Amino acid sequence: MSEFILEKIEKELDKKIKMNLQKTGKDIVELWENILSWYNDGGVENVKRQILALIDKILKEKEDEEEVEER
Amino acid sequence: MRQFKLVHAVISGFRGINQKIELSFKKPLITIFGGNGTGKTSILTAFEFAIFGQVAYLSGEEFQKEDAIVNMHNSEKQAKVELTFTNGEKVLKVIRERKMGKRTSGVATKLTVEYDGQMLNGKEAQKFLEELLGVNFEDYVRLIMLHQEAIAELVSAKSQVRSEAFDRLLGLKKYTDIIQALPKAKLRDKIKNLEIKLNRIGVEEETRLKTATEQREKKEKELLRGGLTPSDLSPYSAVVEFKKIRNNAYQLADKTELKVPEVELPEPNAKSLKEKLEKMRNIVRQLYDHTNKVFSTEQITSEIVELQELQNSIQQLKEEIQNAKKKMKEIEKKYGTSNQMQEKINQIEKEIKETKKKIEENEKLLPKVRELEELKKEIVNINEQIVKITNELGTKDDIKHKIKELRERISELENEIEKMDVLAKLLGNAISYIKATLIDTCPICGAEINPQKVTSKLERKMQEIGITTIQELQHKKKELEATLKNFEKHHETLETLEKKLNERKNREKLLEDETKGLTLPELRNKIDELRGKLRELLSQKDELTEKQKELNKLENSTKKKEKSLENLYEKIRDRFAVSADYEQVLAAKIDELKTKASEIDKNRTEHLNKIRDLEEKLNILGEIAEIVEMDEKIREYRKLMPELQKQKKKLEEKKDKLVTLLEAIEKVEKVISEVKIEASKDVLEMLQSRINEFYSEICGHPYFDNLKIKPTTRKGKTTYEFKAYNTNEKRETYVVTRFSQAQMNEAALATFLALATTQKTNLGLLILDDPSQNMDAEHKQSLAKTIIKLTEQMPQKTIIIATADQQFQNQLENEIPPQISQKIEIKKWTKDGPTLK
Repeated sequence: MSEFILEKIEKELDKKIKMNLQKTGKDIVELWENILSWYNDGGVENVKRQILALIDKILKEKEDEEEVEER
Repeated sequence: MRQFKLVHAVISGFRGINQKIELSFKKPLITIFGGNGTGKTSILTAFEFAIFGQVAYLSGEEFQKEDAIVNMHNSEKQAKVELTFTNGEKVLKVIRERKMGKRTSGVATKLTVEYDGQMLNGKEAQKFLEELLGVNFEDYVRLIMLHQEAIAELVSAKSQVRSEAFDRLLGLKKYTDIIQALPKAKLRDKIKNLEIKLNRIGVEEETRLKTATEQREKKEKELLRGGLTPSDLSPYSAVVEFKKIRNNAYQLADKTELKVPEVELPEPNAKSLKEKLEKMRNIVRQLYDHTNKVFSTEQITSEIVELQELQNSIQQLKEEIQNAKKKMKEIEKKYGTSNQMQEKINQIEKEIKETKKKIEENEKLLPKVRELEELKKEIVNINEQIVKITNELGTKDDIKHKIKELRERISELENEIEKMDVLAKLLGNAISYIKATLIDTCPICGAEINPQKVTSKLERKMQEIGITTIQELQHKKKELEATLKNFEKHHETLETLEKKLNERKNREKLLEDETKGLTLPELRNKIDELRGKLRELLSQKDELTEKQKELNKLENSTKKKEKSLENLYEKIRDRFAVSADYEQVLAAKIDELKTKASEIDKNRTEHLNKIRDLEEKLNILGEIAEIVEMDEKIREYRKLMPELQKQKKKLEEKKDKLVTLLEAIEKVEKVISEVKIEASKDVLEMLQSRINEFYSEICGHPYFDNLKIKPTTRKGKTTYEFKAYNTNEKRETYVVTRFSQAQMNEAALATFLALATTQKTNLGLLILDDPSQNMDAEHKQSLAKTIIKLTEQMPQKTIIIATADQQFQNQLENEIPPQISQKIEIKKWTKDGPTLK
């Protein structure tokens, strides 16, 4: 009976996704690596939370700058 | 490294298990046999709980309302599972504990791992354990233990449930979860909101600028039409004008000795202008109030009103006294003085008394006169009756005489009738004698007689006497008796009437004496006359009494009014210190006061006009301040425009960043989907022959000899087609559309076993919970054979099967040699948990 090691599939898939994303750009690979890291740290909820935080950061970014300028 | 086998388990306070149970697993195949709800699944899931601290499929709203892990009857309110594994060389001990919480998931557990002389706790222990066993929770659920729920999900008619189950089974659930976690919709919303904001920026300000400019022009036109020049509308001109108004206001205040606060000149801007204008308006209001107070005619007017009232009162009293005196004269002229009227009243009262007495006396005669009149009528009536009888039968003496005659005649008739009776008796006797003797000579005269003839003659004679004579006499007697009776009756009536007449006449005489010959109408007329007189007297008396009262009242009232008038004159005398010509003095005083009031009014009006003029100027200045304010706003809006452009640019930059992030997320999602579907295809292709091997062994479908699981992607989502094939006829069907429940379970079981038997972990364990559900005897037999085969093929694994199926248990016992099989039988379940046999 042929046995294969499924436990390694996940790591291979992660790598494959990264490889495919490398064709599209460095930033996207970085995003993927972040997503994986967020997932490993706290599952899907953490992924969702981190991306929403990223969006909030972009939206707040300029306002903070403005505040600094005003000061 | 050799795989770790489970050799011992101690469980307490976990799910259906309360009191501690200990289980030893000594052989490759373990069957846990017991009825429904006896705690079989609790035992199986206790292993999962011990290794990972959680149990799959305990999710849903209700599970968050109570703790489904810790046994509700456990006295220590604690779940504890202790597992012992060995790989033939070393022993691994796993101890998991958890206190009762308020919900099922998210409650902390305590893990202790003992291995190779070292003891680990908490997260470190968990990491070590998963690495040592080469399995995480997701892998355990898809490769080690086949939950009943997992079978149901693999053959679910809902493609999403089925797809998630296959993803989980193939170890791809992580990627589906990541795709679902990417907040694309929220990101799109944010981008959309930014676009809306971008479109709006500056629009509002431009509108405001336009509106303000239009309003300014309109206002300017109005003010220019009112006589102002464009130069008047500048804030500097406004300050100059303000100064003029302020000085005028101060002058007016000085004139009326009003102290007003100092107001500084405004700065040449709208805010300062408005502020100072408001202060000036307050001063103007004070001027108004003060002017009205200083130039008040209230007191003089009140005095005039008072004196005019006094004047009117004197006039009114004088008129009233004059009218009363006139009226009194009229009364006295017609009725005399009050004393004269009293004398007349006394005389009339005397006459009234007398008249009343007369009326009373005459009223007493009324019944007697009535009786007398009745009596006279009765006497006439009696006389008429007497006359009638007398006319008919004669006088009383005549009647008396006639009665006597009738009585004598009746007596004579009675004698005659008696004689005739005697004669008749004689004739009868003679006839009887002759008939008896038949004599032929007369006994009296002796003459020869014929008896028959004589008899006949006598009988005729007798008949004549009897029929004619006696009857006639009796009839006559009766007639006479009737006549007599009539006469006697009338005689008696006459006597009664005469007696009555005498009585009436006596009474008549008496009454005539008393009534003095008055008839009833005469008497009535007399009474009516007296009553008329009485009424007239009473009326005269009332009229006189009333007039007397009126006269007295007028006298009293006039006296009082004269007194009041005197009091009013006294007031004037005291107030103006005069001793005569009171009314002329009063009139002169009123005129004097009126002149004074008129002068005050004139002064006040002049002053108020000046204040109004100030107020008007302040209003115009207020309008100018509005224009100054509008100019300021317009300048402000114009200044704002470049700032808005800057803001717009910043928002655009933010939007671009978000769009880049969205594109990156979409690319990541796309790549994940592509890689995931490729991987699932690879794995399933690899498993295909193994799945069909198990499918053929367990199910042995008479027509569909093969299973095929095909992943497809639609709109970025992976779905799995679970189909059965007939290879010869090349026909196919979906498992969920044509298979029975048992066949569907068998197909799912084949898929799970294919995956579980081709994986490689360090945990030598395979757990099947109730694998024979819905199967018939033949298929159970096939399953039992497959399990025996697996036991032989995988000696490094312990296979644990839980079942409530006696038939399946028997088949396993019959098919499996006792040296490789161990049976754990649960007798029953109580509050304390499963009772092992």
